[in-house]
Amino acid sequence: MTIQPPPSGARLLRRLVPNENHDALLGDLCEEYQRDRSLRWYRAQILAAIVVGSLKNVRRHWLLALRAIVIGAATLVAYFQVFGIMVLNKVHWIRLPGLAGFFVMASLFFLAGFAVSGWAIVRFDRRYGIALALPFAAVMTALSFADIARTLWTPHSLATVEMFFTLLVKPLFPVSVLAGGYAATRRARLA
Amino acid sequence: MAGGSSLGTADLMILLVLMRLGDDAYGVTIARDIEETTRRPVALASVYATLDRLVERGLATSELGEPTAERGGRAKKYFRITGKGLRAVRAAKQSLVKLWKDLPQLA
Repeated sequence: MTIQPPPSGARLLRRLVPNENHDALLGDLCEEYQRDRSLRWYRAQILAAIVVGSLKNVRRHWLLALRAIVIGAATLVAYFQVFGIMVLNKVHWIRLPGLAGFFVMASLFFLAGFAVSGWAIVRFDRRYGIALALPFAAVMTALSFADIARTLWTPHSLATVEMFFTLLVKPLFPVSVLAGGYAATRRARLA
Repeated sequence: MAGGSSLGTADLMILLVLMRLGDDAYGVTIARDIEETTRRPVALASVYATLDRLVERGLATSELGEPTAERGGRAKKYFRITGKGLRAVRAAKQSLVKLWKDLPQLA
């Protein structure tokens, strides 16, 4: 009897990078896993395959990647225009449980917005899996960290809540984009 | 060396490994050979990315083997260097040797 690696890795790779043929690579990973490799090694190889495959897709389809950034930005604007105004109009009757409650709700509202933008990017063109969400997530990472650097440089200019928001929640924006993108990818079947 | 056949370090390394391994060159053996030579861990996915690029450029060819139970029923993908690949390796060697000669401290 042969010891097979957990199928979740292969499933995740096929789900996130669907347009490539991974059979030879997965066969090699399987062979190495049976020989002497650890589960940690296997997972690292799957992660590397997802990153390499996605970056290859972005390089090959850079126009689609640019379009994805536009789609992400447009979705964010629409989300905050529609839901932001809706929330502001209703805020007088929403009973906010103190400052901490407001902080949590505002954070969830923002994170949901970024997840929706990631979802929209991938849903718009599902051929390349998570790849097209990566450039937008990269832009969001750059903007978030620029903001964090600005906050750390001039900490007195911000109120405590805003500072917490910048330091704790903004780094999660790109994660939300990728989580939303993941939700929009097609579930893969194992061959 | 012609611009179209210029090789990066990874390209050159993999072409040399293909030459060393001959008929037994597939993902696992190629990655293992590079790991043993460079003493650094290698991501199989990046080996395949380089191999795919070499095949696209006509410097290597690929061929599927038989699926085996040990590999979860998946076939091996064997790679072989082409004549064009061999010429590119020779040209790269000549260029590197020329550069090397002018640096006695590296001889």
